[in-house]
Amino acid sequence: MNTRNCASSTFFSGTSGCEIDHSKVKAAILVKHGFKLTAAMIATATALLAACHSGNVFAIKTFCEYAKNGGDPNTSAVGYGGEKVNGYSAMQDQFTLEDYSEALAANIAGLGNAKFDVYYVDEDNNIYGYDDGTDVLAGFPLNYVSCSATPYSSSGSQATLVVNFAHKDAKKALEHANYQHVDFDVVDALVGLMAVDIVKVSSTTYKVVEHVGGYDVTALFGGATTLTNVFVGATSASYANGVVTISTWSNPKLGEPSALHTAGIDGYMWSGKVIDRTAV
Amino acid sequence: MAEVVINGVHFNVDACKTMSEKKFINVMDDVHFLDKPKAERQAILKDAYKMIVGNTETDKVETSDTVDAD
Repeated sequence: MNTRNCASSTFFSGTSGCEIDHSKVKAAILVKHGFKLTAAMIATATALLAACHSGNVFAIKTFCEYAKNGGDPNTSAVGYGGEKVNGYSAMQDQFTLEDYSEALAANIAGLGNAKFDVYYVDEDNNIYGYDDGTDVLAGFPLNYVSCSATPYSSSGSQATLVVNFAHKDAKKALEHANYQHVDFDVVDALVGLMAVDIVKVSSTTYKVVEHVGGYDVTALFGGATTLTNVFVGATSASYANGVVTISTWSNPKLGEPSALHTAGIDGYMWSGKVIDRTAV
Repeated sequence: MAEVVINGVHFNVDACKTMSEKKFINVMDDVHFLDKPKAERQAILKDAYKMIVGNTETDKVETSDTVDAD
């Protein structure tokens, strides 16, 4: 007959010889489910910034408040017996952003039940994640990311945006939580991407504006080190007087975020939209 | 993507190489270097075309001054 070991009898009740000071979480790093932040990606601020433009890493910052919803033990008693734990309730981490953003609210609302994993970052550059048994820290698996928006200020409070991270398994999130410390300002290095539109102003001139709110960022794009890698398909391009002049551009589109980053433009990606204002 | 930069105008080498010199000048003439007289503009474009067509090893060439017509 096979013997077995009693796993539940192993209980490490000690604490670290050097406990970290659990400071406030300031940012979340969402990654596509299964994607992990490798040692190379978090080696330097430059590497992390590049990762934010890879299409797999999505930073959300800056948080100013935290609340936990759920994640408590469910107990029940049978007959005249004492209570026993029979599981943990579903858990959400709820972070309030310092500033309300229509663009971020719109994008989070559009995520639906898309599957992500999440890392949290505190102000002391500790990255919290999920120990999946490998050498590389994983993100906490999520069922969904949603937002609770208060889009307009009232007499007593400003507009607020709360981001809800719903854990896939509350018990496992607690059981397998781990963290690693890095030696650079992680929150500062993180950049979320903002959607931009191309606006055709005349037959040969264009602008680039933020998709939500229409903020004109043409000067930033016009200052790229390689314009034809930014304005993909343009035969030639130059920037002056607030517009980008392009000789021929039959199928206007902007480069991938990684290409924009390489050209010196951080924090933007093309929405896929081209607005023709030549008739205005 | 290879690019040649002349006086702030970025030329897409691959796209420009598909054009003849005449077509290149026709396409660019009323678009770039508009602060210069037409003759000077066309001379710049002619030199630019030569630079682009001959640019096989360097991805990017920066010039700080107007390309000399002759």
